[in-house]
Amino acid sequence: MLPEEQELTRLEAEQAVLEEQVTTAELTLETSKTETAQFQHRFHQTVGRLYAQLDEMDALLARVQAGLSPDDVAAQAHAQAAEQQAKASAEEAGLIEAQPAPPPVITPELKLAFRQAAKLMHPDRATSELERLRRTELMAQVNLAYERGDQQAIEKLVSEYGQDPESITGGDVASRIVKACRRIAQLRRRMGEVQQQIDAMQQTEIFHLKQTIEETEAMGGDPLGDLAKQLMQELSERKIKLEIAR
Amino acid sequence: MDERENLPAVIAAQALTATTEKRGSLVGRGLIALRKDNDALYRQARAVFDRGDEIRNWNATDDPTIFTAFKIFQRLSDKNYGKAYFPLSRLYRTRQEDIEEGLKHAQHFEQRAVDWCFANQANQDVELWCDLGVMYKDGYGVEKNYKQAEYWFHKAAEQGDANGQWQLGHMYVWVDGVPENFEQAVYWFRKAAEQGDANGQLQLGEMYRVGFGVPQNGEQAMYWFHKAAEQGDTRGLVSIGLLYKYGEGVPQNGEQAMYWFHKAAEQGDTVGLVHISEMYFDGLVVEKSDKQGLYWMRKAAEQGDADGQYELGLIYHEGGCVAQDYKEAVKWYRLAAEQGFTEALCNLGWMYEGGDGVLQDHKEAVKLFQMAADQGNTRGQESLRKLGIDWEK
Repeated sequence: MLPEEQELTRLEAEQAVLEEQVTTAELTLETSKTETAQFQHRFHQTVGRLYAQLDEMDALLARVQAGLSPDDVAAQAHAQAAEQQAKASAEEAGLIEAQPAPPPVITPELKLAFRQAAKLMHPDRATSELERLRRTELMAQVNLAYERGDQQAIEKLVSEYGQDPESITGGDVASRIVKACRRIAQLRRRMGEVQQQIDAMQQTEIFHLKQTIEETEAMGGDPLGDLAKQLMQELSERKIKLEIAR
Repeated sequence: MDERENLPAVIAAQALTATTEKRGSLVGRGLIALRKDNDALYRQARAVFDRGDEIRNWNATDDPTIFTAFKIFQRLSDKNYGKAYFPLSRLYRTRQEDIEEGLKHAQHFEQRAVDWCFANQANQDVELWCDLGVMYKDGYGVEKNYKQAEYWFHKAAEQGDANGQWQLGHMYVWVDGVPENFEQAVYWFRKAAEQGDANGQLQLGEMYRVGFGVPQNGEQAMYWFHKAAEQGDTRGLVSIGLLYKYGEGVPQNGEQAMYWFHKAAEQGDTVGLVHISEMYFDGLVVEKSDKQGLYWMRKAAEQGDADGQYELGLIYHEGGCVAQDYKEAVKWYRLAAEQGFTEALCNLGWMYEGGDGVLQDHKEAVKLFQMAADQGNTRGQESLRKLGIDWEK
């Protein structure tokens, strides 16, 4: 075997290992995301909903108190804050629909980034069918990022475009070596990103909450049920308070 | 008088910032309400660990509770939370997965546990002292030293710790190499029992039953077994059943014995099943029935009771009430042996040596005898001697 062929074999083996690692990491990330989403739903169904009701009750109470003393600036401000809190909580618990996010601001920089990307990878400039398909897919990603107003994503696509292993089409050893090198670099980037996302997710409040609750449940406790009971108690106390205020 | 109080605008602004408390997200509020600090987390996991018997031969799939405690100890150890080292090392030692890796981890954490316990021995912490005592008793992470073990258990026991009291009493009765002292054992078992410790109650009852260190008294035995059983300890139920079976402190009564064994079995204790089976086999207080005996022994074995598996292996090995079947015998011996049941290791060894129900394999036989001998089984040691091997080498 020629030395360059040996090198190619080595690179391809390395690539295969990396691909497996990236797939595993991505699977971990996605599974964790789904499980977290399921947990979040359960949390809001059992406890979050009660917190929202509590805030709603507090907002009503504050409004009643503000109505009793219309000249009290503090009471007015308090009522307003309580209402905002109640709305935010209800949205988070999924009791009312959240306001859609405002459309992104189209800055001149964003426009410039889009122009650059389009110039570089427009499908019409492809020389082969395969290349055209590759460019179409990339352009679709650029369009989506533009709609989100995500300038960073566009810039990333542009910077990665030149290093895309799929742009190497030759079947000779040299081309295949270049392709493998690029693929390996791409996989390493991806691995870093996935790892970062996993780390970031494990720092979130929802992740910590899920861990705490699931561990306690595994050891025979019912933390969500206990908390729900406690909140129900608070709710009925609030109800009485509200009746008296009225 | 403060002049600012005359300026209403300022007061309003102050009050405004004071009333708009931020409550944060719902998830954040849940977390604040439920989050546990390291100490609470440790206590939670330690409670699982302290159930004792269950942590023998555990694995992640069948024992999710223990696995959770294990993961918590791991996390606490990563944060250098010293008290987690000892239970973590134990769980590594008893885990039935990645055994070789586990042993390495176990030894690593035993070392850290000993170092940590030593560095913090001045803490008024009976749990720490007991952990140190156990490590000395078993010789894990430190050279085996019964005097030291006794010292640490005694220290904890004197502070009124039930576990220390029980450990101390247990040493005086059960540990070879410690001079027997039944009076002392009874004294400490009673201390533990009186403060409601189920282990102490069972041991005190047993001392009354056999009359060691205290005049024999079946009624007292019954009293303490009942106390343990009331706490949901199934070993108490089994012990009561045995008192009825042999008529100790109560008139002999097969029906009553059967009742208590069944009660233990219903609560998931397979030892109850083994005793039911034995009652049918020996026909002491119920009508003898090999068929019934076999039925209940199989039930115990199938539910993973090592003793039951060994006994069932024996039944097939010897034949009699069933057709002799070496292959079945090997199967059940092996299952019991996998749980570290030393008698089963010996019997399985002889099956390999003789090629009964399994391909003859002298090497495998020696390995099995060695495993039994290493755990102090005299039959294993004897077997090696018969094969001309010095077991201590």
